[in-house]
Amino acid sequence: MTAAIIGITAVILGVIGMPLFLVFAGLAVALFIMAGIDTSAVIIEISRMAASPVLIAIPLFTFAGYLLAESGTPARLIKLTRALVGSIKGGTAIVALFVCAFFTSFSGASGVTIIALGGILFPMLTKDKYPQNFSLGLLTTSGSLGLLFPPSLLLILYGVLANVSISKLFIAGIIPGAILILLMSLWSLKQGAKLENTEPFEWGKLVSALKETAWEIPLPFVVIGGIYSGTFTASEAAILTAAYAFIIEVFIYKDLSLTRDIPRIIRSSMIVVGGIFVILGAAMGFTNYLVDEQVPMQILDWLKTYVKEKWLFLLLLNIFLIIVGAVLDVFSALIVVLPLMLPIAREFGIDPVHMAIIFLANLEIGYNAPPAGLNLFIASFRFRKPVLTLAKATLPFLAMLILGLMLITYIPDLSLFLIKLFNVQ
Amino acid sequence: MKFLRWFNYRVYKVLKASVVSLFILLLAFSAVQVILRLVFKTGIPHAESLSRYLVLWVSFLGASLATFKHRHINLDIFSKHLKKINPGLVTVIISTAATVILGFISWAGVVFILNEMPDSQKVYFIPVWVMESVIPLTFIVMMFIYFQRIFDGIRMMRAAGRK
Repeated sequence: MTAAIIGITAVILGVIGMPLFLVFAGLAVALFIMAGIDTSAVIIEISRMAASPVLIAIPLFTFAGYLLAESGTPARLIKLTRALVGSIKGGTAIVALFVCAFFTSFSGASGVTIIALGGILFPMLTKDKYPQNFSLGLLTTSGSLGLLFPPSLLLILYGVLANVSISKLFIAGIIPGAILILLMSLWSLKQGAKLENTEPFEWGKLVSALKETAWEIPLPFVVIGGIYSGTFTASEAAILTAAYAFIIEVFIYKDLSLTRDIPRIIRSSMIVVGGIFVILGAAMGFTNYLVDEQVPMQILDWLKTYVKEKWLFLLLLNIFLIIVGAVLDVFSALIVVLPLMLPIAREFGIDPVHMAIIFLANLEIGYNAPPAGLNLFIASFRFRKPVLTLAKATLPFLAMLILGLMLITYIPDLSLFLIKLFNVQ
Repeated sequence: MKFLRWFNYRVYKVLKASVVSLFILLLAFSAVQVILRLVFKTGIPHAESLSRYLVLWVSFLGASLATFKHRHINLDIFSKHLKKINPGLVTVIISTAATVILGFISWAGVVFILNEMPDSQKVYFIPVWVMESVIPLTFIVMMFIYFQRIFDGIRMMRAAGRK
């Protein structure tokens, strides 16, 4: 009875707008007191979290993402991709997809992609006469596209929480992420075919755009190549990426001022990182209590009386995760739900790496799903359009993403093939 | 109230400067460590531990800044509508609950640090408990911010009542 009152109070406080880390911290403290456990156990969880050597990657990749987003990189990358695919009908939309995926993989789905790139890409799509709803839907869903690509923060967090190799997760997301982009590109090509908005391909433009981006193009290759050649770890890749991005944007391109812009970017990115870390700490205290109380096993026992087949479990898991992704932010969803779902998925024989990709692909979709997907609200703020308009505009893209999700879910080799091929440990 | 507002503002200024300085230290220190390892096949002793604690400080101070700036992740589906009806009341409810929760966590943090103190190891010359003290410190700072917001909320309610 007391537990129920605590739970209902927490839900009410969450719904009226209390920060989620306080909701989880409050739940953890109340449940620990009820169970007669010292509340400093919550702090022990937080200090244990700090012991993870991989965590350094999160602030540094986030800083690099913010740095790139605030510099002239988006404009240069758009120019390059336009020079490459601008001659194709629907090419501008594909430019938007690729550039958004690139930025989301660096900055996480923290809204920075929609906020930073929406202002450049939306007028570009409008100028090329794409229907407004199409452009809004494309940019809203693109805000979380790229979560499966290295060095996605969510892949790192998953690795920390599930104790899975980050190198495996980074490579596992590449094919599924590419499938999602491919499906959205196909839809964009279909829409673009109706328009007369192409510009002729010119080698001169391409060479000039390549020259301009010569310092930025190596970034993803440094991250991926360095990790898989065994030259450095994911954390070292984050350090080098942040240092490299800082040097090129401040001293080579001179897009950002060392005294005016850098302190502001550090603060903005660390506010996001701080927000994630306190949720991580508080939610870990809460979920560890649930795990100690055997809640996953109880769910499993209950589930097994109704669900016997793996395919049905995967279907239910997908539906559940999309709903979770639509009502919670991706970080809370991952931290709270993963420890409960992981043992159950293992019982059904799902590889933890495959589970990671299914999990994140679902959250990527949930982020855009009506009525509460966070991307809808960020885009509503950015483009000054009602949430309902954006929810309608995203539907065709959501259909494409769900099709991709089904492929990712039921063909495990899409996630595991590259790991086997390169024998990644 | 005036003192609390003045105090929180000073803390905010210190936090802004600390986050930037510590992050630059983290980036520079980690970059030097990686270059030493990759190029010169050597390294700085205890570098990994120090980097980890710098991450803890930078991120927790960032979390305090997030509280000042109202930038913590929350579900604002209903809160926006509720705030239109009675902004002061929502602020008072959330801030009171937050102050109580943060009071418990801050106390838990202090107890944790007191327990760590006697056998604390050192990274260079700094005891680990000093490095970990940012955890209760952050929660105490947040508690003061929310405490101030209770009064802000009451003032908003009074102003709405006068209208």
